[in-house]
Amino acid sequence: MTEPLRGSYRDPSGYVFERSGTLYRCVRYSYAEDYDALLSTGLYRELADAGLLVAHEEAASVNAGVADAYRVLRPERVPFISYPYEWCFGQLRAAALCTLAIQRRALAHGMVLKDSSAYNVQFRGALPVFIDSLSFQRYRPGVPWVAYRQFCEHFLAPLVLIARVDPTLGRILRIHLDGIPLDVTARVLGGRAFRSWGSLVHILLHGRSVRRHAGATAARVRKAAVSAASLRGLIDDLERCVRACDWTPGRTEWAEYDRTHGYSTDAQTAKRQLVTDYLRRSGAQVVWDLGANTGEYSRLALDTAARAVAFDADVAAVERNYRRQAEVGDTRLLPLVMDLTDPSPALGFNLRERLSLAERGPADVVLALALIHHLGLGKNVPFALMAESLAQLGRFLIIEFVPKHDPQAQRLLAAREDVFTDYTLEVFERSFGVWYRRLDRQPVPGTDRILFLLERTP
Amino acid sequence: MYIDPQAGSIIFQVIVAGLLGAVFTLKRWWGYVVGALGSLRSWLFGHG
Repeated sequence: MTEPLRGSYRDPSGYVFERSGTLYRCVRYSYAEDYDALLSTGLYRELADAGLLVAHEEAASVNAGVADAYRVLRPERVPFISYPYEWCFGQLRAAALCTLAIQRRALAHGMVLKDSSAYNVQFRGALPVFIDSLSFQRYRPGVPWVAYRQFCEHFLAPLVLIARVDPTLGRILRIHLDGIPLDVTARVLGGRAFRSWGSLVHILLHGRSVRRHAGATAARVRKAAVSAASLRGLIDDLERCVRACDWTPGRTEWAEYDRTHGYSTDAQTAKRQLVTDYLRRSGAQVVWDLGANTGEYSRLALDTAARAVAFDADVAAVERNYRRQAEVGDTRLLPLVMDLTDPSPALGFNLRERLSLAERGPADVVLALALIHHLGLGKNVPFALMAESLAQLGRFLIIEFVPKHDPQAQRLLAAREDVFTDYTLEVFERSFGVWYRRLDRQPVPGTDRILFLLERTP
Repeated sequence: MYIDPQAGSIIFQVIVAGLLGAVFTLKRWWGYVVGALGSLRSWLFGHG
């Protein structure tokens, strides 16, 4: 038997495995009738054509190595796997609406989603896509939607918390991998739970019911019946509640950075040209832009690269970047929330369910523009640790050295003692020299900054 | 079913979905009525 991917163990209907760099999904015999229904009802074709579900082809010649393999599928691969705790508000909302749109279409074809995990959604650029083709089962009249609570905990709870309490609360999903429990959400919301129908009904009262009926007998649950019209009404209402959740990224220090960075137009043009030259020289196809802010240089990278991932710790900056890409239906640039001093670790059972950031690489090129002063002076990260960390992420590194006397660096030192005696160009070059060889170095005209093109040594 | 929907969630869903289903049905019914009245008006008085 080919070992399933470590995160693919919950659903007995099948599992995902990788062989020779190709991703496969094994469908077990226990799921055969539902899988056949997915195809015969036309639901699969409709969802795949609409871009809501990843397309797959049946790989008849591939042996999964298990006796109960009904089919082996070769799904289209999503370029970069991201997780809900790395998404901004807009991405979480788009993923929720994608799930509900699929549920509505499934019902119209006599099927239903048997789970509604946020981990079943991935992004191709700004566009959400459902990746689990085994999440469907035939609808049995009267049977309630078993994934209702899961939907509320994976999607509605974080959306409501972000919209009503604080935009950084989406990161709570990192400690609640199975969704934020309804009672926890209600406690954080407090009186704000009464301000909207969605948080009052689907979070507060729903959570109370879960707690109150925790000891209900199986017979009572089996008697519960929900008509098809009621199920449609519930899906409509959930969609209304998701759409009613809104959050406007306010002014934060870094979301405004593209207007406040202090570069003259000439300096900015020169820097863009230098970065473009370095990207061309590296021949990069996959670019990770660290500290990408609203994605100005990530978009520039797409002139030469096939795709880019834009990471930033500022949720408002990521939200703006995402909204800009979503407006044009982009499929090549993925903005994500990531604090580089606390990047996503490996998580879940046995620390193998959700991959760390480094495990999802390496990229061809890592961009670290106007970043090192934030890490070095803002977060006290020494150059040696910075170099070691960046070397895990990609082969080439385009990095901008920002001297301590730079106005942006001085902003970081305005209210604190300068204890950073090792924050010098010499220590920078020595530290990065341990991991990289220097291919080029150019001053950024009109500034005292220096741009480096480095290649990781074997 | 491989996820635990939790008994309290199922029981709650029966109540909430029942209410929402009634609203859903009423809205559809009202849509039919409005549509039928519109057709009747067109048939009686013509367009414009």
